[in-house]
Amino acid sequence: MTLETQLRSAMADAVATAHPDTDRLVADARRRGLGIRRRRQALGAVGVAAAVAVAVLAPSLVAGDHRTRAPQPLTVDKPTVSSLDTGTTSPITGRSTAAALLYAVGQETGGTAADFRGQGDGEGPNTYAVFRYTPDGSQSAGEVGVNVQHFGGGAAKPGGDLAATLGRCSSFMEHCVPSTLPDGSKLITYDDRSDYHGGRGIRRVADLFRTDGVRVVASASNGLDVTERDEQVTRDEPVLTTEQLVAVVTQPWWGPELPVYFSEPGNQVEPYTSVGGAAVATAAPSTK
Amino acid sequence: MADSAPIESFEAFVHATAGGLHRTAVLLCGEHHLAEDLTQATYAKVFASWRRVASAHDPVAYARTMLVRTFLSHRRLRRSSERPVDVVPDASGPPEDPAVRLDLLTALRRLSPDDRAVLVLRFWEDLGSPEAARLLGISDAACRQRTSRALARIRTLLPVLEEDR
Repeated sequence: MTLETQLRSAMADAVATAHPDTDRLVADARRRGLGIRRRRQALGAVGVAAAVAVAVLAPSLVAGDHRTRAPQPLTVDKPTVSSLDTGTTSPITGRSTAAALLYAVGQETGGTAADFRGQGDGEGPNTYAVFRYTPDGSQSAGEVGVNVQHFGGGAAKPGGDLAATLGRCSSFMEHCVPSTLPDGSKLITYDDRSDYHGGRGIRRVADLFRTDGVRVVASASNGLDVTERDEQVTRDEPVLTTEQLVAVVTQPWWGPELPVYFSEPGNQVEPYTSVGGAAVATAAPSTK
Repeated sequence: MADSAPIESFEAFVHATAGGLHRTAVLLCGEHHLAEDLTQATYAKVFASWRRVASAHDPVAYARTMLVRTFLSHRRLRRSSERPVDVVPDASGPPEDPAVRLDLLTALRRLSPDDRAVLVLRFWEDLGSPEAARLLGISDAACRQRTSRALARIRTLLPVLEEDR
């Protein structure tokens, strides 16, 4: 008997008693499928509205100027750090995460952002936000995203599972540089290169695990949906450098609560699509 | 379900295909609970695109493609670990099945998701290399190479296959 034949037989044995509950499957699939349809319709609307991009972190937006609610290009000065009051905070949401990411990116470089998506609205403390970003002087967009996770301070203690796993390079990470910051936080930076289409898609990542159990992972890509099967590579390099991503994740105000400074701008980022549900804090990257 | 058979409804399609799709999901995930979630996520996508699936030349193959791509795409989400996920197909868990089954599922879980997918497509779904390659988004040569590599690995992980040869 060949190996292939034995494998077929072993597979058949292994799943011989696997029977799904089809009635429940139908009901659950309908419920989730309706959610997909709703999101798809919302994204269709976003696609039309995204033709008009929002300028990256206009001060009028941060200041809560309601006249800027309609998405349109804004030409403004870069905001100053001193204008950010970090003393008063409110629970993090997908929208405030998007506004905070805009702010952090705007501290590093200029450009335009559009097509905001987020997860975790009203469901914190783990959130996710991403937007399409076109650097000034460039015609091609990539995606910039951030995932904020809160594991609690105990998770970051030396010897713990997370502390042992996060901050270490895995085999799929190209140009991976692990480091420990002066306060003990673990930082790794790397490129995740696509397996598809000759590996042209690149997602550049900075992954910070702080000693208070907060994990902030920021990424920038050289296209849309890169490293996914339907990736659209638009440029050679991601829209942000590693140094810029590190600057984003090391902003001290990331956490289960954000400065209220980002609340109103978060409500104003348009077009915005909530992808629904609570963002789940995931385990460390698996090794290939 | 024959590809030419008319599909009366989404419910009828699920009842006719769920057994096969779920068994494929079990082999891909190497674990039952994750397989249930993967199957459900796949049928949710099928429901969301029901008109397109129902009118496809081979709706079952269409759904199978959705299953495998959902599996691989969720694996990528987890690999990057930047995005929230509700399906984590390559997580390990304590197996609960009899010994032989335990060994195979455990061995499958220890393979990379790419290796697992190629073995399941080639030897469970009985797809030819070109067809499996198209589904996985790789060249035929790469598919053959990956199949050979995956077979070698599972033989190492599951010596009983070797002993019985």
